[in-house]
Amino acid sequence: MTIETIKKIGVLGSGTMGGGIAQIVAQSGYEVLLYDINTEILQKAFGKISGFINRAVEKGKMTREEADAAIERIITTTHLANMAGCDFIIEAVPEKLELKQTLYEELDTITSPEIIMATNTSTLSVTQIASVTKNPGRVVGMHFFNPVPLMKLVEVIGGAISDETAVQITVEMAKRLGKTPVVTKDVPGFIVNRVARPFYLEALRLLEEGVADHTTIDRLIREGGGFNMGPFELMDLIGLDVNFAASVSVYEAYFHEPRYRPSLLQQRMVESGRLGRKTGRGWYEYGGGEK
Amino acid sequence: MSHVWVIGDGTPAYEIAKLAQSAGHLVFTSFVDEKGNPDELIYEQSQQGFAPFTRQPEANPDVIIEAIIRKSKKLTAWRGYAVELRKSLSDTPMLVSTLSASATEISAWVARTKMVPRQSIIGWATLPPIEHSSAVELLPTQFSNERALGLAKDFFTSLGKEPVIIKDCVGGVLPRVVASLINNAAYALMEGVASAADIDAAMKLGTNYPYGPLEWADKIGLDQVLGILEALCEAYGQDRYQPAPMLRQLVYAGHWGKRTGRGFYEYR
Repeated sequence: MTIETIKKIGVLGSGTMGGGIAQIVAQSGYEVLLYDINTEILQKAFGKISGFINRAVEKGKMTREEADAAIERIITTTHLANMAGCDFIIEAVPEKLELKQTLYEELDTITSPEIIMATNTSTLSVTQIASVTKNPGRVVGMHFFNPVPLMKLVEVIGGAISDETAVQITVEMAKRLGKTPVVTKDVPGFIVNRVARPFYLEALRLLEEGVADHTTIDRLIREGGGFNMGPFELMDLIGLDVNFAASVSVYEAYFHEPRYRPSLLQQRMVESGRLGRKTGRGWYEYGGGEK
Repeated sequence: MSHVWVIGDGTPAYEIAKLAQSAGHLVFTSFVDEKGNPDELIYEQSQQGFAPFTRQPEANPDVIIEAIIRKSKKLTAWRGYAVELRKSLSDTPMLVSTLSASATEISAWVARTKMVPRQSIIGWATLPPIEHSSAVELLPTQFSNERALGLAKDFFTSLGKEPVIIKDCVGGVLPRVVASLINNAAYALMEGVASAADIDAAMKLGTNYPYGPLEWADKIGLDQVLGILEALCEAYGQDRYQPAPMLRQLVYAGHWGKRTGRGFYEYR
């Protein structure tokens, strides 16, 4: 199989990530078969996607004709068996290993064995997902970033038993979807979520040590280092609970590697319920109508 | 215009000398050799455009700013300078780089020589490219006096940098965070997780960092990054700062980054 023979792409899961992926796939000229478990969810997702595409027309980023054609290319389905007609699969269902494995077992019997199946995951092992299929070489990782239509990066993950050609075709696919792919091994956190850990952890240690307060640390990282946001501002945006969970998961996955040791101070903050912008208070206070 | 002496051996020293010169200061540079002996110019680029350091400059320096990379070298050099320059140094603020030792520790070495008042010693920290940063960290010790701190602030303000005071420690805020990021990226590269270019691209696009950690290391100087990590290892005695063996290997091989033509990347 080659990249040129791919015309129709199956997207599984119509949440924030799946919806965003379906949108860019359709905008890149591919037919999309969007799957989810019930029609209600799918209708909602379809409404959102067409809304985003229409807004692109209002902003002058796309013509009316292009937008209509893109929207028309999206077909929804609740029947997994319909994936038989797809030339490439991108799966973005919730991050639960059992759920994904069950799905891949079924897909394995539905799709022809040369079709690439790419899983959008940020925390699971691609190898472990692939292991339930008869032809695990065709399962690769394709980690998109949120919001999918705006974020250029895609981490293409070759599992321990992925075929090299499957990885290369997926890289090419990411490019055709307008993304900048990077290739990574199947390690916990891949590149971004692994390499970024000290940005938060070292800042938290500096705060614990009383070297400076969080406002000063943020300022020095921004004004001294040229980062757009300081680590504490970023934790507030991501959600302290989400950020803490990511640190804990990477720490556990690397068998307690000291570089990834989570922060007690952050754990206390999470326990206090000050989770960042979404609760109106994290390291900073947020007013103005936000809860 | 002030007389500024820059003592150092890496990219930070070179950059600060250049910035001080463009700000209109009269700059004397002194670069330190591997054994810590002063006055051996090992930094090729520094020979262009800088007045060479002389033992008896026409006037006493108004500010001394040091940025020596390795702690061992720093110790030797500071002891040497403290003895050599004692006559003129009683009132001169001495800005010592905290990238490889805390200002308090350097004060202790200098105090032992009984030649230089530790009241004049203030730590400073930032990372290359210094040109692009608008804030510099100042780390006064419990002995630093207001006068020295005031002059240190004035010096950085004259370079267009806002001085921000933090508690004395090894590294400082930005160098600790960035050196840890670089070290972590170096481990990922060493373990074959991805190529250097892909690691850098991922961090710039996925998290909006101003530079990829590995290209940033090449700008800072791998020797300086290793210096920070080794100092943190010693100060905290914890494995989390253990430098990636690959980083050490590159430093041993003389691949210190942009200024040697090769680091994580090659430059022509």
